[in-house]
This record gives sequence, C-alpha cells and structure tokens, in this order.
Amino acid sequence: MIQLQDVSYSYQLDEEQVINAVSDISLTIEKGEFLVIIGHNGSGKSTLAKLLNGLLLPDKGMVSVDSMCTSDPEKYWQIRQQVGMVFQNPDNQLIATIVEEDVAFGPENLGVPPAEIVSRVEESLSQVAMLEYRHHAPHLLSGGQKQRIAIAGILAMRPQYLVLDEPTAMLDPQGRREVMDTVSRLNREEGITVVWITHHMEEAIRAHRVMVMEHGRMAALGTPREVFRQTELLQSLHLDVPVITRLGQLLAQDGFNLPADVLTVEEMVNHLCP
Amino acid sequence: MSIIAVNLTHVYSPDTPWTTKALDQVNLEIQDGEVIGLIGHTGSGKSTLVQHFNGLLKPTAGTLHVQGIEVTKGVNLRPLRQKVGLVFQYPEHQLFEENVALDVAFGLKNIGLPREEIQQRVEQALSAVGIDYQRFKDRSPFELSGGQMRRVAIAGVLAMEPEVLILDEPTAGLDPHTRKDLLEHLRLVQKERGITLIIVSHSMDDIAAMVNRILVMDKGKIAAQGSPGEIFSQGEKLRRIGLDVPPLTQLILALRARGIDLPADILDLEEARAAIGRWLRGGKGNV
Repeated sequence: MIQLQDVSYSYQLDEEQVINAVSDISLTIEKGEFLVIIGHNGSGKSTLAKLLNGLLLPDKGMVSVDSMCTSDPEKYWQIRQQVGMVFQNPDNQLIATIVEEDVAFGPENLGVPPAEIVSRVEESLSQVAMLEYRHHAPHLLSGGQKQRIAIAGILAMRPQYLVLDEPTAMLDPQGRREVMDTVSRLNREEGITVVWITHHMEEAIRAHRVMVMEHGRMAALGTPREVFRQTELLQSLHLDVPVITRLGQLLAQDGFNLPADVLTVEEMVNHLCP
Repeated sequence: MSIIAVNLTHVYSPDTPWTTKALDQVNLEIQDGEVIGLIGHTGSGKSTLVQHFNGLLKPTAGTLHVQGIEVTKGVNLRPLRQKVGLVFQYPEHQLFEENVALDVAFGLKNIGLPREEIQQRVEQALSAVGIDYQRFKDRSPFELSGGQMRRVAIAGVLAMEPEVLILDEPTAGLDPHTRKDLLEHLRLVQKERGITLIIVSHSMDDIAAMVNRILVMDKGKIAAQGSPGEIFSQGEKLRRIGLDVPPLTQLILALRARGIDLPADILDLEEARAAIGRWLRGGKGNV
C-alpha cells in the first residue's frame, strides 16, 4: 500500500516565482490496484509520480510505501526497489548494447548473485514477451519493444509497484497496445500494483480507479464510470471524455434511453442491439 | 502540381546484410494547396517518404519532383529547402537560442533577410501558432511548457514561408486540448497562405477532420488513399496493417456487422449521433 497524506511539492523557479506542482493530496493506493492518473500537461501528474518512490520528497505531508516513509534515508534503496518507474522516452531508459544486459543492470546493482540474475532476466523478459529478443541490440527494436524492455529491467528488481509516466506517449498505436496489454497482464496475473499516468482517456477505461489532477490538486477520484460521467467537470479541465461515453450521453440528451457511463464499443453495441 | 513521385524507391544500407527497402515504387501526386494526412505504423516508410520531399534523402530509384525541382543526388538544396519546410518529431529538442524571438529568427538570418523583415516574419509566425510575440519574445525557450516549445519550433519553420509544410507527428505527447488547438492553428495558416500541408501521424482521429486526403503507407508502399470517410470505412484493412481504428469507427463497423444500415464513412461524434439517432427513431423502436 502506498499512502500519501496531505502531500505538497513546489518548484522554486527563481526568487519570486514558485510553482505549486502538487498541493495537499491524500490518497491510498491499494495493493493490486490499477490506478490511472489523468490531467493535462502541467497538471502535476509527473511530479506526483516522482513523489511515489522518493525521487522527490514532499515539502509538506508524507508518502509511505508499505509503511516505509520515503523521507527515511535508511529505507531509500528498499523503496526504490519496491516502486519501479518507467518514463515516457524508452531511449532514455536503456543503457546497455544487448537486451539481456540491459535487463540485468538493475539486479546487478542490487547485488543479486549471478545465477539468480540469469533466471530473473529470463523471467522478466518472458513476462513482457520479449525473451526471443534477449540477444538483440535495443536501439534496433521498435518503440513498443523498447518500452517493454524498460519494463523488464524494472521487473528484474522484483518490485511490488510499477509507476509508469506516460509510457505510451511516444509510441505508435501498435506499440501502445503492446505496452498496455503487457502492463494489464502484469497487474491481473502477477498482482503488481500499477500507477499509470496518461492523457489518453481511452487508456483510463481499464483502470480500477481514475484520479484526475488539475493545478496540482485532485479534481476527481473514482471508478472510470464514476469519473467519466462527470462530463462537465472534465470539459472544464480541457479533458476529453472517451468518445463512446460521450456518444452515449449525447444520445441520452436526444431522448434515447442510454446510461451516462458507457465505456467501450462492446457495451455500446449491447445497449443499441440488446 | 506540388509533388509528383514516380516509382520512388529508397533502399537503406544497400549491398550490406542490413539492407532495407524503405520505399518500394511509390507513385503519388499532391496538388498545390492540398491538406494531406500521411498515416502508417512505425517503419511503414512515412518518415522516409517525407524526408525525400525536402531533399534530406535522395531516391535510390524512380523520380521525385517537388515544386518543379527534381530531387536527385546533385540537387541544389537551398531553393528546395526554402520551398519545403519540414518539422521533425519533437522539434522542441532543436530549440537552442537564448530567447524565443532569436530562435524563430535563426533561419531567416541565415538567408540574409533585412532586419525589419525578420522582425515582421517572426511576429507573424509566432502569432500563427498562437504565441503572443510581446509576451514571449524575450523568454528563454527552455522555460516554456512542452506545448509552447512545440509551437515555437514550428514557428521557426513557418517563418521561412515555405510553399509546402510537412509536420512529422506534430501532436505527439501533447494533451488533447493542446493538440486540438495546435491543429486548428495549422489549418488556419494553411488556409490563409494557401500552402500545401502534409501531416504525418499514426493517429487518424486527430487529423481526419482537417485533411482533404489520407495516404496510408504500409511496407514502403501506398496501401490506400482517399477522403477520410473512404479510408475510415475500411476499418478491417487498417487494423490488418497495424493501424488503430478510432473507437467511433469501430462502433459503426460493429453495428453494420449486425446488419444495421449506417453509413460506413462516419468521421465524428455529431455525425454518429445523427446517424444512430435516425436509425433508432426509424423503426428500431425504443432502446
């Protein structure tokens, strides 16, 4: 469980200007949860991500991971190992010239014995369906493949939590699907807790809970249905409601009997042709 | 005629074990003032194609004419590059000057324009992308938000007043609001200046509303082309070549598969709302 209690963080631009990137956020991320954080550029979502594993420490309030406080220097490495981070640009996250060496980098630094490293590398690469590429050079892979290698590198450290900051922003549709499917499966089958940051509403549909951020604050929190029903709020924050949800709402306005929280194409087909 | 390619072929690393045919006998014509959406998945050849349009790459075989200039090994790049502006993916990575005005003016200084004209073009280019000149001219480009940096980088190319403007994934990584706003600005610039606009994207959703014609690339070839409606109605084909079919299109195709008579070329929410509403009212009964 990751707990945030009244967490605030601000950047000092210069002597006068201060940006309150995160303000008074309290949130409990349960074990096994798939939480999606949405908000437009500059809403504070990336700052929040970095607070989750102690890359940033809160100015006010407290962040704890399985009861370890991120500001406790003695827990520093343990927390980093428990909470793995994946960023937007896969090219900035891969360092070795061979895929398996890249995946081994994390556990090597943790001092894992060599024989176990080998088995962890194999396991992590199969978890992201990239085992057959173990001897390839990362820079020759597609964006989606690179991002899955970056995820494997994190998995090799056996984290309980995976925090992904716009992991699909630089990928094409196929790469985006690969990464989404991989992470969904890790959550479902391996029980890894996922915090997924995005501004693609369609990616939020599969979450257990969605949190909407605006000006560093929590503007909404709930299941995708609960959140996407709040069309006016989302539009006032310049966020889109998923297009299928919006279509349902518009048809309801036209007098047809459709709920305000239809999420997927399949659901819509079932409503229209029962 | 703006661009004519005949059997345009490009081979990377020929005569090596890594040889790849990135473009395979591409034939296409783009008229002056057209707005083209070029879509395809990563590795389909779309970036290779547009890099030929301003002479960054030269054809391995076949011919290419751009604004009356034949792009060959010996082509004089200067006039070509003045006619064809190419904005790369993540152009903000190429910002480097100490302030916004200097950054936009960089290309103009290089071609030796007088100072008054530079100033005028910089103002126009920034306003065309929705950046207020007075407010931003002295700011460091590195203090701007991602969306603002993107706009400034695009303004640098616009200021060169190209006849053909090509943008490679101009909205990648931007939030929906910024995305829409940037595309609207580009559409206006295109209208005002009558330029040929080519937008490379893997997101059809974004560009469908603003382009006259979509070219779909797959494996180095033009796999399909037509109006956005014509392309969208071929959902299965798009999916087969690894492209995303927008959710609305998926819905329309799924309903049609159930025998419901809806037009296949529905592009946006309002069209879908109207068409489904008509169907629900006409005989379908109450849902």
